[in-house]
Amino acid sequence: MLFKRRGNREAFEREAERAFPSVLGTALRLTRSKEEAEDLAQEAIVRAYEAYERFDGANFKAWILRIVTNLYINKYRQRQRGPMLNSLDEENALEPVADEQEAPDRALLDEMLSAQVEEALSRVPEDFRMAVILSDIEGLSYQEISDITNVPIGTVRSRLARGRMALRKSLESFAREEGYLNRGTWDD
Amino acid sequence: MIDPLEIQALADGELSKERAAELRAEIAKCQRSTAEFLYIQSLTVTVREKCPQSMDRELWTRCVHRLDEIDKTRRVTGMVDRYAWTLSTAFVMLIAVGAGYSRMHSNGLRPADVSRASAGFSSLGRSNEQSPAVVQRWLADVGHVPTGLSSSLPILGSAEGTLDGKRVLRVILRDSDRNLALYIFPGGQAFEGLADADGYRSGQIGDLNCVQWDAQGASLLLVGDREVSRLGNVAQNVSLR
Repeated sequence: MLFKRRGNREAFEREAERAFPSVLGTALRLTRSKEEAEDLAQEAIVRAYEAYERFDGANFKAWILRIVTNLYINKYRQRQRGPMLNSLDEENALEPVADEQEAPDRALLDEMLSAQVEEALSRVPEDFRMAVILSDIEGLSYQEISDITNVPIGTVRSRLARGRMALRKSLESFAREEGYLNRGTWDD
Repeated sequence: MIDPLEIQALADGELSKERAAELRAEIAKCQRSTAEFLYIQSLTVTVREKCPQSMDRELWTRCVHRLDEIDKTRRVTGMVDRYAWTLSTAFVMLIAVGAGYSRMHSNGLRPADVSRASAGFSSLGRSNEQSPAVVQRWLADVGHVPTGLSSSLPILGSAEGTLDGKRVLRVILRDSDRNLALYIFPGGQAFEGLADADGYRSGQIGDLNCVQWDAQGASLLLVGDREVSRLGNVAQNVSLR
């Protein structure tokens, strides 16, 4: 019994340590507050350890990120300010992320500083932001994001598209402020 | 233009090989779809590169300490759960052994035991019959000789009970001060917790003093709310005859 518990602890610690940058990063990008993110990350680790016997052994990072997002939704979201989704936001028809006639300017995106991208991301409405974080930063599949956020895959796809569109607009605004862009589009 | 969600699914690697190949061919024919596809790819790469993950060692160490605390709590509760029956059985046995030892090595009754047990004594005779004759009948009934109680004090009542399996008589006497309780143990009774004092053994029962002496093969215990010396004076006038 004791050996089993000790073995569990070692296995958990090994996996949790590997996933901890993702846990903290996701917590930070969801809460947008260092203090709250640290609390959230610690609590997620504790909850995960307490529930480790129920982990199915498939994908530890996806499993623990589900704990992070659930904790965030239940505990921290009510205190958060910033743009929230309403049903209309989700139902609006999707438009392409890129503008018509626009050639993507990878060089311009490269010009952006990490802090600017993080800031632009933090301006994306919460549920869209969550989809972008889990997909583009954590590299999770639509199915895994669907499991974590408890929404159908179709909703994950549309949230991701909307999140990227919002991120693009936000980055564009930064680019304009910094003088990378003179007018409203990337290739001006 | 091709459905943007399809283009996005392709960029995210969410389509089957066959569907991905078909879609790539379709996208190649449409400038806007190509722009959309390349933009999603660029944006994804940018976000991944510009939002790196980093390890916060200090915070991780704090997490490990919290895991240590959880383990410690689990160990304690696990041990208590596992040994609860053993611990409680050992505790009960310890009490039982202690009680048995105390009983076996006890030299006699403590005055407080007498006081507690006397609450369950039952009265002898009716109140208007209280007299030395009632005491005499009781002593005769238990087979004690002599059977008479010699006391200059009036008897207000009497009651009997058992202590340590022996029959005991309690007689309430009255003098000019207050009531006194006289316990008679026919055949004698050993007491513990009493100190020698002027031919008597004295002690306390709660707030009351008591004196104990032996007479005519019986033990007598006189309890009253007064000093030991004054109880001794009363005891000099009480005897069995």
